[in-house]
Amino acid sequence: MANIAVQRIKREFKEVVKSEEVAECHIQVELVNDSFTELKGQIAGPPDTPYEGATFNLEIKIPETYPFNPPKVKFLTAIWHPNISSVTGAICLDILKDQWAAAMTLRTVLLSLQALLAAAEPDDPQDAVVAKQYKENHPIFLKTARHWANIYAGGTIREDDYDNRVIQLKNMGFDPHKARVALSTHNWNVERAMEHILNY
Amino acid sequence: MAEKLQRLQSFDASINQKDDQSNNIFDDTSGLESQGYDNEFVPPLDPKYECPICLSALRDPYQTSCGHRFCKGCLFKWIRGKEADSRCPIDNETMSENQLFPDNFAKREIMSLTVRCSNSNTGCAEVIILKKLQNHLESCPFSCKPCPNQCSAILLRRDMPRHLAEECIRRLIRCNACKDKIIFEEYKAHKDVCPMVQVRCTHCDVSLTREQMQRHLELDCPRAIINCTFSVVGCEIKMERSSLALHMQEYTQPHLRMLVTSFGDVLKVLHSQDNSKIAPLELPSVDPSSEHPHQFKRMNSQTSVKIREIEEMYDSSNFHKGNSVQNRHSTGAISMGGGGGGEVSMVEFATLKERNTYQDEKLQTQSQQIIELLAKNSSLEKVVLDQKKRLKELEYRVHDNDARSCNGVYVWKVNNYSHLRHEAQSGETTVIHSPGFYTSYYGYKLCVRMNLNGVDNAHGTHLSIFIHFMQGEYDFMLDWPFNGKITLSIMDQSEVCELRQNVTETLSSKSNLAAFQKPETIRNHKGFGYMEFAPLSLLENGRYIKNDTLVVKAEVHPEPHR
Repeated sequence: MANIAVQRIKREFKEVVKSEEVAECHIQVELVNDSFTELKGQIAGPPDTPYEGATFNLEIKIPETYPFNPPKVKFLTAIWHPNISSVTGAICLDILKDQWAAAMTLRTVLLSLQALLAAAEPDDPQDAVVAKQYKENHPIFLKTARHWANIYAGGTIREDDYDNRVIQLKNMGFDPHKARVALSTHNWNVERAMEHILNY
Repeated sequence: MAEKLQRLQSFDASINQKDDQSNNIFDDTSGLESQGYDNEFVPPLDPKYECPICLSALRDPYQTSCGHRFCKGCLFKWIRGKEADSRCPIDNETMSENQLFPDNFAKREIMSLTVRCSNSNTGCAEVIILKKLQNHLESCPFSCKPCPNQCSAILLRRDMPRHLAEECIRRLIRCNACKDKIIFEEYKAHKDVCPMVQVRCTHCDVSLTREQMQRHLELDCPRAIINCTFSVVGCEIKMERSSLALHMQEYTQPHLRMLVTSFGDVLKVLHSQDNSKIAPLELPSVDPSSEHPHQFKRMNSQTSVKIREIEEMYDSSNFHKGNSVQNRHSTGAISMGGGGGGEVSMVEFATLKERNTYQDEKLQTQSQQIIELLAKNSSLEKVVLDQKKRLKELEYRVHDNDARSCNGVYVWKVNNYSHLRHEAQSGETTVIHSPGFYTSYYGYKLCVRMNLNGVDNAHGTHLSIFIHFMQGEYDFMLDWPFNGKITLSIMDQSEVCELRQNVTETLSSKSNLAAFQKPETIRNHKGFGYMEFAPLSLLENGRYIKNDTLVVKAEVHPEPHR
C-alpha cells in the first residue's frame, strides 16, 4: 500500500483510540491485519432512535489511494434502515462517495454513520423496501428497526409480538432470518410473508 | 503512409495491446509524492501545523483562499484527482489551483520547531530544529548505512570505521608475502596460490617461494622424478634427476637404436609428405616411383660395383692363401688372413670402416637436428595458434567498439540483397538479423531484424522490419522497460540528393510490451516494428537497392523514465 495511506491510518488509529467518543464507547476501531488495509469498526446506536443500546459492526477497507479516495465501508451487522441494505450491508452515504474530502478521517466517517442512524434520508434510499415502509408506515418501521436491533445488534427493547410471529413461521419449518426478512418486507402480515417465502 | 502508421503493430500477437490509460491520479504528480514531516516533535506538534490530509507536519505549506493549510504535495494530489470540481477538503469551498499560495510564514515557523532525531530508536539523543535535521542526519553517528564494501552488513555510522578496519569480510588486507591487497574473505584462498609464499619442495626439502618452486622442480631439484632426455624418441624410463647421467651412460646403445628408428620414421614421413621439396634421399626404402629413379639406379649400380670389387679382393686373397673361406663378410676372417695381397684389402677396409663411423656420426647429428627442428616447429605452431586467437579477440573488440560507438545510429548495409531475397522467397532463410549495436557506450544493445519477404499478413507483399533488444553488459544499470524513440529508415540511394526519399518510420516504446523488457535471452524473442514497412514493389524500383545492397538505418534514442 502506498506509504502515505499507511502513515495516515497509523496516525488516525491513534487519534480514534484516544478520542472522547471511544472513551464514551460511542465508536471503536480495531485492526484486522498488520498491513493496515482492513479494519473493523463499531458504532453504538444513537439515543432516542430504534437503534438505542445496540452495537453495529462495520467492515472498513482502506484503498491504496487513501486519503484521496474514501474508505470502503459496509455494515457487518444486519440492520433495518432506509440507507443501508438489509441484505448486503451496503451504505448509501454521500461522504463515502462523491462528497468525500481528504481531510475526513475514520473518526469522522464513524460519527457520520452514527448520525445517519439518527437521521435517515428516505429520499435517497439504499433499501427501497425499508424506505417505503419508513415513509408510509413509520410506526411499523420504528418497531421493525427496534426488533432487528434487538435480535442482531444487542438492542435492549424486545418487540414481543414480532418475536412471536417469527417463532410461528419458524415452527412451520422456515428459516428464522428468512422469515424475519419476509415479515419485515410485508409489514408483518404472516400470510403474505409465507407467500413471499414460498414464491422466492 | 498514414494508413501504414495505423497498422503499426507489435509483431508479438500474444500481447494484449490494451492501452492501459488508467485513471490513476498519481500519474503526473510524481514530483509531489512527498508528504508531511513524520518526525517526533518536542514538544508535540501544535495541531494547527498539521496537514489535514497526511496528518503530519506541513511540508511546503500552501494556503487556500478559505484559509486552510495543507502540504503542497497533498493538496495538489487532491486537486488533480478532482479535476474540474475541486473543493477544500475541510469546508467544501470551491477552490482552484490559481487561488492557492505558498504559506511561507507557516513554513518558517515549522522549520524552526524542535524535533527528536529520526535515529532516536538506534540511540541518538539529539533534539534539533527541523531545518537542521537533514544536515544532522548526514553526519549522525546513529544513522544506519550499508557497508560500502557491499559485504551485506548494515551498521550505524558510528560503528563503520571499526567494521571497515577489523570486521568486514570484504575489507582489503595486505598479503605478507606478495604485498598485494587482498579481500579478507579471499585471503585464505590467496595464500594457497600466492607466488611469494614460502613452500617446501616435496622431493628435496628445500624451502623456496612458490614462484621459484616451479622452476626448481622443472630444472633443478635433484630428487624430482623426470623423464629420460630420450623420452621423445621412445625411452619410457623415469628417474630422479640426479640419476640421469648414470642412466644415459647405461642406456647409450638402446638410446641410439631408438634414435635411428625414429629418425627413419621422420624421414619417411617427411618424404611421403612432400616429394618435390625434399632433397634426394639415399634410403633403400624409398618408393621406386619417386621422381629420382636415375639417381637411385646410379647409386645402386655404384654400390654393386663396390661390392663386386670387394668380393673379388676377398676371393683373390683367399685363393692365394688356399684357405676355404667360410665367412666372407666377417672382418675377423679377413684380419686373420692378413699378409701379402690381403694387406691392400685391409687398408681399403680401414678406410671403409672410417667412412662408416663418420657416416654414423653424421647420421646421429642429423637426427639430433631433426628432433630440434621438430620441437621448434611445434613451438612455432603454438605461437601461431596463440596469435590467431588474439587476432580473433582483437577483431571482436574492434567490432564491439564500432557497435558501441555508433551512439544509437546504426547503418546496416545488406549486401547480396537479391540472393537473400530469393532465399526468403523460397522459405530457406526467412529472417535476417543485423549485428548488435549500442545506444551509447554503456547503453542498450539492439539489433535490426528483417523479413525480406514479409511475415504473417505481410507475407509476399511487404518488407517487415523489427527492432529486437539484446543482452548487453550494462543492462543491470539501465532503466527497464526501455523508454524512448526508435526511427527505422530504408535509405534512398539515388545519385541526386534532392530526389532521395528515404522510407522512414518513428515509433515510441510501449512499456507494457515484452519487446521493451530487459532481455532474458541473448536476443529478446519479442521484437517491435512494422510488418508492412515498405511494399516489396517499391523496393525494387531501383532507388533503394544499388549494387545489390539495401541500406537500413536505425536510430534509437532512450529517454529518461518519467
